[in-house]
Amino acid sequence: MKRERIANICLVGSLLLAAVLLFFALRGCVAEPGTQFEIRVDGNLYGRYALGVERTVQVEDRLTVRVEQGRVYVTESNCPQGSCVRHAPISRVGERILCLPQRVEIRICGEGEPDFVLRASLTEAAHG
Amino acid sequence: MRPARNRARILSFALVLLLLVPFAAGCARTPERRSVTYFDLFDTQTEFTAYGLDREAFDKAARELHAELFRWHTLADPYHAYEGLVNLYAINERGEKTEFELEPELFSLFELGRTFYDESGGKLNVAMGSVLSLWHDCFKSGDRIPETEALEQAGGHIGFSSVSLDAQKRTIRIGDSGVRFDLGALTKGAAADAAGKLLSGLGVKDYALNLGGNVLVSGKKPGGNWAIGVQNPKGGILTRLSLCDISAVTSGDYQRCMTVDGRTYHHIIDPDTYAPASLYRSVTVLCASSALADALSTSLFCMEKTQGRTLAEKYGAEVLWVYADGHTERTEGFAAYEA
Repeated sequence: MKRERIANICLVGSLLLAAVLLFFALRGCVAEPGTQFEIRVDGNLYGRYALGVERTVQVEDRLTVRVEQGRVYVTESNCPQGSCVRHAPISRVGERILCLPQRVEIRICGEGEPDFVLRASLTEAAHG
Repeated sequence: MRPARNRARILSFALVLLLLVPFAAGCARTPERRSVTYFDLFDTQTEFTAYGLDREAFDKAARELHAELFRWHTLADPYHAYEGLVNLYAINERGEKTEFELEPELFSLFELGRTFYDESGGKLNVAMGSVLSLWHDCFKSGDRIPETEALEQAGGHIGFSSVSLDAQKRTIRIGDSGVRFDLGALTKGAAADAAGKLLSGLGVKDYALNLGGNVLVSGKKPGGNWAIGVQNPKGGILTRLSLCDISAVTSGDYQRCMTVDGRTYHHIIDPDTYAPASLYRSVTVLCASSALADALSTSLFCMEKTQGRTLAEKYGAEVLWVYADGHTERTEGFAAYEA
């Protein structure tokens, strides 16, 4: 009888442990693994891509994004001023390139990404 | 027999538990996060994020929020006229007219402008639109800077003393026909405060509003406080803040600049020199009021640190200064918000 009880306790114990591990494993899957970048068009997710894979992404007829050696930049754009093309390549979590006239945002995401990044306000430039 | 049956019962119970785990893992992520982005406000990207609202409540809040922000946008728009509305464009293109009755929001911006003109010793000057527009034209072309003569001529018409405000009649009178206004340093902050009032009236508690770098956070998200990164002017994130019920605004020299003859010029113009201010790379201000945080960040960007610190203290604001060589200084209270 005693041996049965010990066996039962072991069984329940290991199943509970499995449950706990599974819980965290599943939650882990929900979070973003590794570092990626995402492209948003009109505020909606257009695509999410690995930073480590070289590729060119044509974002509709708006602009062309290139990722190379973990750095993302805009190679061509249909916007009038082209400030997105002149923007330095981005590679670190929290950095982004915004093409306001075409409503396209490219941002690096991954572990440690904050809810928002405080950037110098652009419209003081309006002022500019 | 009995132990075997017992074990079977325990086993099936445990299996059911195990099957429920994936659902628990999913449910643990609620309340749901909802977010919307606007591109037609203040020449920047605006994001509104809230937790704990169903789709219908969120959409209603977002609609009313957009209407409120758009009103501020139109009132302070220096580039476009809107039918039936006395906005900043109408005031700047006033011709012979010298007096206007203003909408309450626009009047409050001018009042805030006057307060900070006095408080900052003229470093925040909403009446220097004529100087700013010269720089604005150059930033557009990107290949030249304004001529000294033109700047000095425009600089003869930036005195806020030629402006009188009557709070009772809500009117503005402008004595100098050469004065042009620019409210870019104040509008987003004041609009964010108004939006905050609107949202709390709608019962929205846990939200973040990001008006192109002018951030207002209320309540918390499921994991705790809101995590806000402060951009390093040299790239990446300089420091991380853990915030609730507060506004954070950065003024900096790195968002819009141009290079002419090997020299880089940025867009925050010092009213005393008519040239870009060069004391810091960025100044970040934390304050309960977004309007004050916005006004303070621009003021402090052009002020010596000691005077800036005194002004910030007066309004209970915390400050992070980033210098050109990368070193930083902060008020005592700022560090308490750093994660």
